[in-house]
Amino acid sequence: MERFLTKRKLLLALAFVFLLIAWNRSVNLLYAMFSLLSATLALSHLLPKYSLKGVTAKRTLPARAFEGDDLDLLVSVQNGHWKSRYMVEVFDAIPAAAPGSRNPMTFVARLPGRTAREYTFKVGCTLRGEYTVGPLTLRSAYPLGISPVEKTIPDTTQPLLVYPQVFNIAHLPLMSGSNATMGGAEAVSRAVGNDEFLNIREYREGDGLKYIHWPSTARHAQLIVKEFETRGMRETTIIMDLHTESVCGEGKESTLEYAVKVAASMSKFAIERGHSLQFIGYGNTPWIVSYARGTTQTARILEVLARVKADGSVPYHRAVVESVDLLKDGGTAILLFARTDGELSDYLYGFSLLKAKKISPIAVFFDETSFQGYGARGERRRRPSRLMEWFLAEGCPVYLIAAGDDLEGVFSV
Amino acid sequence: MSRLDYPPVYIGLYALLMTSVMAAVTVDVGFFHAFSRILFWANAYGLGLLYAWRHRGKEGATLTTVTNALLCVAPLIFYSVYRQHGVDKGFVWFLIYIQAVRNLTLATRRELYFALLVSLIIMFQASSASKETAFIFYIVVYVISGVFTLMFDYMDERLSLAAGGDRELLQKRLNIPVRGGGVSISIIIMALVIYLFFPRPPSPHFQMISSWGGSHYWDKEWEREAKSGKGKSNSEDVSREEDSVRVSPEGDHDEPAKRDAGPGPGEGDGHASQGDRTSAGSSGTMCGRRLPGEDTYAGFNDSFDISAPGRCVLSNEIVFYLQCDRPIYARGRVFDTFDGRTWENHNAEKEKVYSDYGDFTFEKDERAEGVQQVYTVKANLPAIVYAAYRPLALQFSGSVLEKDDDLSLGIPRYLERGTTYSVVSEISELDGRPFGGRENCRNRERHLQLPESLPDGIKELAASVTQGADDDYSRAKLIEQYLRENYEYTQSTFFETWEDGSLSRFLFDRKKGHCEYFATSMAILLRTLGIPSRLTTGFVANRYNPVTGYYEVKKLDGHAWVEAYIDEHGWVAFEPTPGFYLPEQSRGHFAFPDVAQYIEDVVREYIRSDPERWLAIALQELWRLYVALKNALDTMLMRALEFGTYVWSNYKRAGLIILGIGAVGTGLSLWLLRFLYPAFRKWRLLRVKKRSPKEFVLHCYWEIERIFAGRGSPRPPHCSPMEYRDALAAGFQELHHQVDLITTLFQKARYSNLAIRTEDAEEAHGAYEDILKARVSYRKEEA
Repeated sequence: MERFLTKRKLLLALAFVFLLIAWNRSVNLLYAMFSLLSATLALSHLLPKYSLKGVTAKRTLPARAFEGDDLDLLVSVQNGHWKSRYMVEVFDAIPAAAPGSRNPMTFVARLPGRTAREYTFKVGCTLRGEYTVGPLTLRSAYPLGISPVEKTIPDTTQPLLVYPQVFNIAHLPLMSGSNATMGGAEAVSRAVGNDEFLNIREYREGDGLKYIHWPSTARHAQLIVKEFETRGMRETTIIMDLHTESVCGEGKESTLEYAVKVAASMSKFAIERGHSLQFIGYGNTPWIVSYARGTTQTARILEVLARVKADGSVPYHRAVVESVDLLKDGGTAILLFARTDGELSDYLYGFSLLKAKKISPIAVFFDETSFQGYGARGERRRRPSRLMEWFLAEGCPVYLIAAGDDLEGVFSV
Repeated sequence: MSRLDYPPVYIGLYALLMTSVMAAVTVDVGFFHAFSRILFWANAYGLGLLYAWRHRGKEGATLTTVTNALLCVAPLIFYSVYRQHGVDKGFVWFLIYIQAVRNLTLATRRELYFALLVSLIIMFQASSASKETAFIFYIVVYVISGVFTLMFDYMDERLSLAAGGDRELLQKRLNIPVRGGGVSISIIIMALVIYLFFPRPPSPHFQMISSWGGSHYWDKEWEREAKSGKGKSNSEDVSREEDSVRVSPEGDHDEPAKRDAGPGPGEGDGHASQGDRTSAGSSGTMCGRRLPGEDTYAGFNDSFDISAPGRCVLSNEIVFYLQCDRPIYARGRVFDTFDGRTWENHNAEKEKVYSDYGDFTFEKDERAEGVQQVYTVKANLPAIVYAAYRPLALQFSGSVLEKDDDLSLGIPRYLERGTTYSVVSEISELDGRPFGGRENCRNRERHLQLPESLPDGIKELAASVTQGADDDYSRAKLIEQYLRENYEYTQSTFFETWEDGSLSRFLFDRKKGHCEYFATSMAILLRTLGIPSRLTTGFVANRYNPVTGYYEVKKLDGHAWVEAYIDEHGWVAFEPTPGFYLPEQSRGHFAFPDVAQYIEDVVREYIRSDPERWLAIALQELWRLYVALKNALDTMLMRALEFGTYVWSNYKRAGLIILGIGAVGTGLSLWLLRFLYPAFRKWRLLRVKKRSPKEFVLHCYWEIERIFAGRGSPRPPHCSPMEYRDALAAGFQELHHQVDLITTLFQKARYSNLAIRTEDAEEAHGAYEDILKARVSYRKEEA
């Protein structure tokens, strides 16, 4: 709520009181005080109107960032007028920042005539998503801060995509494919021979030196090696629940955000180990990223995960059924259940289809009890739901995540 | 409330607080007299704020205890100052002390605003009490300091909220990047304009608390007489020895009856009247004693020699300040008996008037309204209460007064410096001259008294001057006019030795003298015609200081004039001395004329004081130039008014028609301009096209810049033509091709050596026409 008693109102009231008393008592010195106060007020209203003339600003910031990172903002303020400008404020709008930091302000005490100044500062990205940063607004209330004037600078908006935070997964029991020689072992893409050429990537310790790709190395000024695909079928699909009613919690502490982080981290894990990854989520628009490998696929999936919202109308059990046709036989399906209280009967058909295609599910459950209101944090579901029990009975890996859990720790066993 | 981090805030606050403290301290005494006090408070405030700056946010329990202990002393300070100087001064010193203690812990914005409020209250009280022109300096410095303090406070607030920018300023001690000089000068100039031209309607004096204070005046004998009702007496009953003796200006007087100086406030039983001499006071004489060590106007004595008004009449010392809505003659004494050289008051009935609370009323009619005057005495004066005629009510710090038939007011002892009192007087005007309203002239004969040795020829002179006049008022005016026009005022006669026949020599021979001669002459001339008249002495209060709003009355303003009784009007004032003018209600509704007049008076006085000084000579030349310019402007204005009146009266009708046609024509032209102007621009462009395709392309581009600026999308200065094109493409998608074409051609024409062909010019023309015809406005892309 705006303050009622502002400096302007106070000074106006004072000037009026002085005038009344001066008039009633015919004391000229009080008229003098009234005159000086009035002149101060008048100038405080007039000066700001000219204090932004000729002033413009620009902002530079990266178009992409990860959740939790600090954005390096570069704000450039220029004064095209020959006279100096004072107390110029440049406001930006960065919805990705934490509440309270979403309108960072650059304060320029004095900007000499026909000069430009640059200022850098950091703003943290707290939540993934697709944002429009800006526009920049100039503001000045020189000299007393009584009567501010604002001016929005056109063409200073730019998009910002904030990727979800990715954590390290120590172990995930993904299917490794049908290659006999590699049976039971995890196959990863290596810079080794006798395999199909897949991609190029930067050199890692252990890579064979004869597979260094010299043209790329020269271009990037760092060692680049050729990456080969090992034989075997390793397709992994992540299926996400994007139904509007599935989400529990708010903001960062919601099942959706946790699921996105888990999905992003699992994607990275799988792709690093040579899996071909697919992502499916039925939001308001279906988000389907087809199977592919490599860092490009990671980038694609991160792009999607940055944008997904729980705005769909397809219940998760139906999403699973719809997705089965897109899955390749013998792979892994990572099912991210937003809640633990789903009806088993709803899912049985979908699970039977998965079984028929020899797809191994990995189930990740989010304990909605702990996400429902901040007061419920820490409380956990006391016993596994029927759905969880079914997965456990089938011998499928099951993960249960509650609000506040250390996700690295959850996936370290 | 957020903490203060920007150091200049403390500096600005220090300047502000010290200005207000200095103003409060020096309001009664001058700067140099109060220097030690100022120094003390400067150190107290400075060290306090310095401590607060260094330890802000680190207040410990010890500091809190110390400040609380110091604050407990504040009521004692208030009480001790209140006892001496009254509640308003007590409150001011209370605030000064409290703020000095609070400075030790001043660290937040709330505490800063409290300090600002304290300084404002102190400044307000000092402004109300001050009567010196130099005080304006404090006000200006105070407001400028306030502006800077608020500016630094605003900077501090914004810097603490800023994520980027000049935040390091917060760390630097005295980095003041903002230049406040221009702002300060602008404020002063604008304030001056407001001060001079802001209208000032007449003051309503609503619920005005009358001002009175200072020493307390009382006399046991007087009070006893007043209460017993035996205070009435007649001066003739008093023996000559007990009457006030004649006091020459040189101080050659008989042994004065000692009057005690009177008690100060709270001094218990007051003075003791000493010996029989006090009975002189109790019998009703005014204390016309010469003040100890003071040189006063002889016209305030019980009797005064018209040839010797006293040296003080040349002194520039201010005797009192008068707060009033109009100039007045502040009456002191009234005389009814003239012996040819000396005036005395023998026959007025005097009475003592008592009031418990210093509230005296002389007018029974409650409906009577009057002019309020507040007198602040700056120098010791004789035992008279000065007031404009006719006084209706008086508020005075005394319990008893002496009043006579002529409504002169006396007090038990001399009027002491520092005394303040208020009077309400009824002042009516008759042809611009003040009179007190109708009242009966009691004991008329005493106002018709003529000296035994009346100079020869005076009666004839009176008769010849007033020949043709039908009534007393006309006769009096004629006499006044005669003296003003045929005699010269001079101060050279002040110290001339009196000789027998000096008055007749003045009237018939020399025809020049000082005001006492003029007043005496008029009074005698009127008496010879049977018109009651009396000589009145007092001060002329017409030197208005527009800065302070007070009339400054000096010793040299001591004056004598005449009051004549006119049957239809009562006692009417007359001013026979040339160069003096009866006070008229003439203050306008703006300060500018008063300021101009004040500057004029100051300059005149300066030139008069020593015409040989180089500055006086320069001012004299400037003055002549100013007068010539003023006269020229006045003449021009008058001629213009005359011409305007002539034209108006003769050509009003025709003029109205012409005016009407002119207005319609102007409106039509402006309306047509909307259509004609673009056509004109287009025509101009086509002319260029015939001349040179390259120039045409350049002009085309500038034209489309102008067009798009009018449609809400101007080209920013830093934007290149290609960037501008891209920006326009976003907002004006339909015209993208045309804009692109013209921009490309413009680039080619402006920045390359390639020739612009006629076909290019035609293409540009086509694109320009499309843009001109298109009725689109800038559309923002939806997020």
